[in-house]
Amino acid sequence: MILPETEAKAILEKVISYSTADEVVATLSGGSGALSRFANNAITQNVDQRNITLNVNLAFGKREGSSTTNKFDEKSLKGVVRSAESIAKLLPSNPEHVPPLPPQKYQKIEAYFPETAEFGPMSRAKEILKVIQACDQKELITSGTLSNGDGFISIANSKGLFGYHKSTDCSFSVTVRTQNHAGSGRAQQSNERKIGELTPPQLSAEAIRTAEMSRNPHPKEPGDYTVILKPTAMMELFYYLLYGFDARAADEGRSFLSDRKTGGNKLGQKVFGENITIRSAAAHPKLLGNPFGADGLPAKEITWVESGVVKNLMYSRHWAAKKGKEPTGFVMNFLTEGGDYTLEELIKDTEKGILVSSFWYIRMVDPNTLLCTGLTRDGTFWVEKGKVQYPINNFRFNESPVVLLNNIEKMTKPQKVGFGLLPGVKAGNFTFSSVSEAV
Amino acid sequence: MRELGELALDTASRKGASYADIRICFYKNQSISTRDNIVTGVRDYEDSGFGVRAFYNGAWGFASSSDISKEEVQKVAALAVEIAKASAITIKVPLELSPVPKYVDHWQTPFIKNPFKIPNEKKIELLLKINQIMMKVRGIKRTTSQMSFTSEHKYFASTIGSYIEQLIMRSSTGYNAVAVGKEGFESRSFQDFPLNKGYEHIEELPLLENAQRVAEEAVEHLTAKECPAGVKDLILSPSHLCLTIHESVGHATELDRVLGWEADLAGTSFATNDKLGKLKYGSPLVNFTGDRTLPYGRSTCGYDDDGVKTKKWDIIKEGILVGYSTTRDTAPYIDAKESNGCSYADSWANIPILRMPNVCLAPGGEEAPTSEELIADTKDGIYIDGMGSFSIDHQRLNFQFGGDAFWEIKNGKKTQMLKNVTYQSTTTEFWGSVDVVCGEKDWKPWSVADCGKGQPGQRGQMTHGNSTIRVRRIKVGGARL
Repeated sequence: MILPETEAKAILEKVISYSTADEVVATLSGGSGALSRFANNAITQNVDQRNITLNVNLAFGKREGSSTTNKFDEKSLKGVVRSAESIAKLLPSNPEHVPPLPPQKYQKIEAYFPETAEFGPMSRAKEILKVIQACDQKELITSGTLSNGDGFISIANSKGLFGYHKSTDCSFSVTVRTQNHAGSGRAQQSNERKIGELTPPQLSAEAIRTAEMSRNPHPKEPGDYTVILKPTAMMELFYYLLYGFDARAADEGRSFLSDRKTGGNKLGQKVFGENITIRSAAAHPKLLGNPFGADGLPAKEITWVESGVVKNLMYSRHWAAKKGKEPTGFVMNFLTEGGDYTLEELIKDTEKGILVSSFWYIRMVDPNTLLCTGLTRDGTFWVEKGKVQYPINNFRFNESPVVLLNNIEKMTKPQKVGFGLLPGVKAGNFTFSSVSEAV
Repeated sequence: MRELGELALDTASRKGASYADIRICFYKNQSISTRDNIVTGVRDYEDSGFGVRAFYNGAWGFASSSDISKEEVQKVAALAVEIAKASAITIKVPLELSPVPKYVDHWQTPFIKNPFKIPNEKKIELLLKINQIMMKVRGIKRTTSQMSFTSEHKYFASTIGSYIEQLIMRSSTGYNAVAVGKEGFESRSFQDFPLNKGYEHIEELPLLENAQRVAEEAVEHLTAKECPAGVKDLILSPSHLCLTIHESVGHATELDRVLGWEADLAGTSFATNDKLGKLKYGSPLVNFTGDRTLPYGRSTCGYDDDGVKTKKWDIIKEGILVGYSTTRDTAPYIDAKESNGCSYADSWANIPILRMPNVCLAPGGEEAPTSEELIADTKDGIYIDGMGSFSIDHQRLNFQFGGDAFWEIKNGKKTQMLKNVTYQSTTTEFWGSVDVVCGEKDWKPWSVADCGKGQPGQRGQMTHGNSTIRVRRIKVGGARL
């Protein structure tokens, strides 16, 4: 349910023409999404959703107003403009107002694949049925989701800027639990563009293997351990790291990247281990991200961290202008350089340690240090003398991703996880603070 | 609306659905935010559409659209049945729906002042004034304040013959001050208890009266003593306990979690149905109800999104697990005669799922102390106010909570602020260690306004009224670098 480029452009130009404001930025976005959800070896929910919204931001001088609708008849289009105008006229000037961007050049990123959008409910049910049957044969309990959809975003402003991008998206997740609830495994693929790239049979085989291996966990005391984190576990901690890269927060003393000695930020300082390099690249063939952000800025290739040194922070247009920097927009994806090892080699290289399949319910405890807490889940194993020895209980951890990224000894090749590329890692001194009996 | 509803139900029935319902919804939202002297956003958002749910051979299908027209209603209703038929090929044991009577009714939140008719200038003036008071406090580097309002107007029709119209009004506000110094940065918030009321809710709150105190406590927080590591008695204010209730009682007693329907993401629950009536969840002072009729509660309405009339029931009675939150499709698994009315969808676009109701802790009896008397009765403890960091395992056992502000209690007195306080426990150990629940006067309807659940994710809002409690000998300070 996406609007073609010509139709989107016509609506946006019409909306802009309806306004008497000095500046207008209009954005259309939406699409359709379908998701089949299964649990206890049957589909329990199965949905199809479609919606398109129009957001209008405008300004009289520096007085700003904003309004949103999901109706596109003439009355609604004029109404959303009037609503935004009436808000703007009554507001004080915003000293941080930035004028609309002039026309921009955007990369062409081919991320729309019709076969993904057209994958229907019966096709999803048949794929899920195969997973269910594989688990039925082994008397295992499975749950998960299979989703697909399409979407688009189009932006235009009163200075002549126009952008349009469409994409498709699909994901699969599977959890497998043993009958006595003593073992659990999970595997997932998310943010894929092509339905053919989803691999439910392989993922369910992986979840089955982990569930069977993790049965009857042995007790293990909390403490500081060497850990081997699979890429999924790394991703879950990584999100918290990226929140801290906002330049304004760092400059104003509200970030782990604030420099308490100078009162400035840590740009140019070595904050992470030398083996850490993090970049963004919207057009990366495995990620196929958006060519522009919600603010209309083109997505750029940016190096955030190189050999442990902070090379860039996220600058909004306002903060960049104030600080004499180029605006970066927000991180839209991330690519982390890894190593040449396989996960098996990381295990073989470990005298004593814990293999973590995934983390759960991570929350910030102290944003000054990025201290986070969370729990292990769906497969935690004791490694000794280079081999996985036995499953162990889950743990609560209290650790900072900054500390983790200073303690990494070895890494696997990066793997696509969500909207990033991340390696599995072996790292020392990871703090587990209590035992969780949950399986 | 009735004509569109009947069209959807007729279409779904003709395509083979044994049950179907439609919700046609119209939402109005407004959010206003300020930072220091700047209005950072005033956003009006109108959103409408409909969703059709079809039941076929014991399986669900759901489809929705923003185009409220006869043609689209027919198309979407047919698609919902097609989806249900696809679901059905995986079903070995068909779902059952608990019985529900036919209702034809209208219900609305009893609000006095429609917040959408209050001039924006008035709202903005209040928020900027709050910021100005906080900015005057030395050491404060950033102040933010916000308000939000929602009007949820929905029509529900089902093949049972029900036709229900409801209008739910929600209002909330809050503000925050951040202090920055050589020690780092710390904050303090005024977290209101968002309620289903009109603008009168904003006017009833002591917003201006608390702004200076909040800012001063943010500054004090910055240089406060680190939380000691060890075992302490905790005195938890209603504004703090709200979230602990939500995570360790509310979610743990959702029957869909208990049955494994959320196993892939949110997880399951330790409070399994074989323990119903037996599990010692807490001390005998611990009594919880589910209640979607609580006046002004964030989850309060007349009928749930299954068309079930809302009610109040026991979840934990004198420390024992005795009930769950249920929907029409989960209630049969515990042989319940009827659903407890916990079905809710946060949008026309989403399928109704089991959402936590208002889950409230009953106040102590007539002899129960006030919170001041409780502090005076505590030798070595920590008082925690407001919500902060929170994390709990996927079966709702092992948890760790922070808070918004903390004070050391020594020999019956609040002596000084602390910082980086966290406490670690398990659900049954924690509730089993409650030795005092303060009385009725201390009971406040604190709420959670942003609870995520489901795939695709949905937002839930619910009230967790409670009085200050004391919990004996809980581990603190286990979270540090």
